[in-house]
Amino acid sequence: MNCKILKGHEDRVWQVVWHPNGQMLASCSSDKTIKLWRLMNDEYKLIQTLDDCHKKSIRSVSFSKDGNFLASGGFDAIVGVWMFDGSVYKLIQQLEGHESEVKGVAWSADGKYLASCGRDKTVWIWDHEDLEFSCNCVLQAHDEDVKCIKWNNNILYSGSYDNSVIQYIYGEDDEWDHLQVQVNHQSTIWSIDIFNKLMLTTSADCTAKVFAIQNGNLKHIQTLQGFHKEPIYSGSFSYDGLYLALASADNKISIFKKDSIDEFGQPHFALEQIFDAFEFDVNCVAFNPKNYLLAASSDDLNIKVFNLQL
Amino acid sequence: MQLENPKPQIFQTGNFEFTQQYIQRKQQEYDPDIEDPIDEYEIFDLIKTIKDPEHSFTLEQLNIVNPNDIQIQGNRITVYFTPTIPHCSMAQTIGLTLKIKLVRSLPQNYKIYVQIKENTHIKEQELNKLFQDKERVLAAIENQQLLKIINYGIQGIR
Repeated sequence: MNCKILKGHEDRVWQVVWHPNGQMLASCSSDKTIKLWRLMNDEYKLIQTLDDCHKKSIRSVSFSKDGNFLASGGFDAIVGVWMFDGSVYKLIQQLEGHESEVKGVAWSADGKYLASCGRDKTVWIWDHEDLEFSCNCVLQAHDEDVKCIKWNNNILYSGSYDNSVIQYIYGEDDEWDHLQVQVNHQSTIWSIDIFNKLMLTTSADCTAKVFAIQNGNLKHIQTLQGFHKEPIYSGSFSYDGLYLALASADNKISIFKKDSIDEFGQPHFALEQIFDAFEFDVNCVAFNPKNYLLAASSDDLNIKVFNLQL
Repeated sequence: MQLENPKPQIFQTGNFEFTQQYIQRKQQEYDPDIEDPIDEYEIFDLIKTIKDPEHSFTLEQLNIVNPNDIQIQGNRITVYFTPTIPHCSMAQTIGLTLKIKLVRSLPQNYKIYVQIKENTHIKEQELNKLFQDKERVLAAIENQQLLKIINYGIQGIR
């Protein structure tokens, strides 16, 4: 398979995400750095290493929709906010508030909110004025660590060690109202991805599930099980929703393709391929927002970008 | 400090060395024609000297670990351990110490599972889930206070 290997991190790479323009990647690692890689002439060049914010492992990174901001969350309980000044990303603020490890960061689609979640069971929502970020709200709806967060427009979803997914909506009463949505996973929810009205959840129960988001609730469409033998740490839809990819602790990546649509208009996904992607755990997969390039990161220190030629 | 289990039972160590299986394995060890894959005795060798967080005894002496409770399937290693008492608050520390010692000692392509032996602890399920959670285990290593306790256990008694 056509694949580029991006070497540079000195410890496990937790997450890799695409810039919204599809021409840049940000990766974060237990080596306490974030690295930015630019795609030029079919090669990935390391253009910047951000190492002046976190004192422990960096678990999560997220680009804002316009690419002007980058956020990071670390085991040191800090959320870092970086701004693009036309040539490089510069640290503009370190947000303190979480009591322990931050495990996820995510920008809302309109860039108005930044959300973070962590082991202290909370989700923090931050807003900003004149580039000054402050806490808008602290939400404690889970019983255990919050592992991942994902925005769908201005609705936020969080997945947890307590096996549940919770949805947060900014209500008319100017409060964030929360509601547990049924996913029926048997263990920790490691990741959530959303494409249009479809949600993909991946879990330590070695399954991934696809749901339709309908009137604020989830309707189960499909459970992808029996493909991975270890926890599935990450899942990603392709930009057109035609494919989805899963990354697992069994060192494999699996790719599924939408092969039919049922009588209710809901898609069904079938396995396209499954392959040994790394020597060790695969921590993250992320489809490019413009094409079928698939970025993935692993405990083996490497990032790989697969050209799937689907 | 009040000890939870002030007088733990101490077991005779090294009994397994008299089993037929172990004797045969020992003999094979020097035969260059026979491949020696990592087996339960090798794993046991790595963990038996770990010091109990509460007592000046090893996990082997307290019968918290033994070779019969180690399973190996390919690169998948599962160690079941038996806390000395069902409400032992040290079970979490023991589990993390076992996991971290094995992660440090074995090739990185091994998948290591540490589990409490069935029906031997009141928080069995809760703790088993914790030992499986990579993020929590790795965060524990970055917690200096906890790391000190874990390293002290790994240093062991020889």
